[in-house]
Amino acid sequence: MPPDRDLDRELRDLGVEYPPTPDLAASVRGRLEAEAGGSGSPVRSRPQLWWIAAAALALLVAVPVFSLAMREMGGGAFSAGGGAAVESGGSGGREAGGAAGPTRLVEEEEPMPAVEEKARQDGTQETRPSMSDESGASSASDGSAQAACASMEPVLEAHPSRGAPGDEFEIRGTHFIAGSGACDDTPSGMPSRKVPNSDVSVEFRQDGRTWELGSVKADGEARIFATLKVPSGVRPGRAVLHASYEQKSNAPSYPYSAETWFLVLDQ
Amino acid sequence: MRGHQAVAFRTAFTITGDASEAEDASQEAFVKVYRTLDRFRSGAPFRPWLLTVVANEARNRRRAAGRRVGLTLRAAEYGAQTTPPSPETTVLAEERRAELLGAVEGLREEDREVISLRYFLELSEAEAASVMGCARGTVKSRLSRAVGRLREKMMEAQDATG
Repeated sequence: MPPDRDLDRELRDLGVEYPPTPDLAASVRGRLEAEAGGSGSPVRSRPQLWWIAAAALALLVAVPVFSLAMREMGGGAFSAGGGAAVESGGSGGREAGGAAGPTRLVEEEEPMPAVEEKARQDGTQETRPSMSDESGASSASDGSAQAACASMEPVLEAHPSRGAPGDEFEIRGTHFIAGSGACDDTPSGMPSRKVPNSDVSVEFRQDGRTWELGSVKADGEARIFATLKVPSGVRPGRAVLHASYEQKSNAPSYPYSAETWFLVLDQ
Repeated sequence: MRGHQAVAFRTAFTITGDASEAEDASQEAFVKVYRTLDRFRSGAPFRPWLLTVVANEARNRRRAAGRRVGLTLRAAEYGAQTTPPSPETTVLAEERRAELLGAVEGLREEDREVISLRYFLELSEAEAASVMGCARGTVKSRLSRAVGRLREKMMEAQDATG
C-alpha cells in the first residue's frame, strides 16, 4: 500500500468526470426575466420607505391623541353642568338634558324608543358622528392625504434589467411629479395637481462610481421613458440605476429619487 | 456567472449525487444570490459565498428527497495525457483508478464530500469550509481522517483480492 503522500497524489490525479454542466446562466436569466416580466418589482429607494413609515406613524399617533383631546373637551362641558352634553364614542350621539344627571351610564339605562331600538339592531339607524368621531374622521382624512402624498413616489424600472456594456435598455418611470397638489396647495378632497416635465437625471452607479446617462423629461402623466446604453467601463456584476429630480414647486425643494437594480453581464 | 456555473453545479452534484437535483439546486442558488446581491459585502470573495448558498440549497433538496446519496463517479479518460502510455501501463493504471474510485464511493457521506471538494473540485480550504459549514481547521482534520479511512478501505480491498 502506498504511503499517504502517494495516495494524496493519486487522488489529485484521478481526474473525476462529472456530468456535463448545464447552461445555468441561460436558465437563470430566463427565469429572472420571466419573473421581472410578471411582477416587475422595482427597488424602492430608502428615503421613500422612510416617508411611508413616517406617514403611517404620524397617523397612528395623531388619531388617538386628537380623539383624547376632543374627549376631554366633551368632559369639560359635562362638568359645567349646564349645556347639552354629547355622548362621546357612541354611534347614537343622543343628547341629554342638563337636569337629567349627565352621566353616560344613566343615559344608557333609560328605555330606548322601540323604533330606534330596532333600527339600531338592524344597523340602519342614521348615525350622527360624535365630536370624537368627527375628530377621528378628520385625522383619518389628514392621514390619508399624507399617505397619498407619501405614495406619490417615483418608481423606476429597467427593461431588460441586465445587459453588457454597450447594450441598449429601456427605462420606464412613473410618478415623476415636480409638484403634487395633495402634498402642497391643492384643497383637501381635490385631486392632486400634477406638475410634470421636470428634468430627471439618470445615472448608472457601481462600486462608488457614477456614470451620468443623461436627463429625461417626464411626460404629461409624470412618466419617463428613454432608451439608454449600458456605459462602457462598468464591470460585470450588480449596478444601480438611479433617477433623481427636485420637486421645484415646493419651498424648500425636495430631492426625489428612484432606483432599480441592473445586472451587468460579460461582453 | 458562466465562470462559476461549473463549480457550482459540481458542488451541488457532490452533495445531492443526482445531476438533475444538482441543476435545480445550483439554479436556485444563483437566483437567490442575484436577489440578495445587495447584502453581499463589497470586496469579499464571491465564490465562497456562492458555494455556501449552493451547498445549502443542495442539502435542502437531499433532505427533502430523504435518501442517502450514492455518488457514482467516473474517472476521466487518459486522452488528455501528452505521452501515450503503453497498453500494460494503461490497463494497470485504469485498474488502480477504478479501485480508488470504488473505495471513495464506498466511504461515508462526510468523508466522500470532503475528499471530493478538496481533491476532485480542488476547492481551497476556505471554500471547502464554506461549503461544509465548518472552520478551516475542521476541514483539515476531516480530510486527514477521510484519507485514513480511504487507505484502510484500499488495504481491505487488496487483502480480499489477495
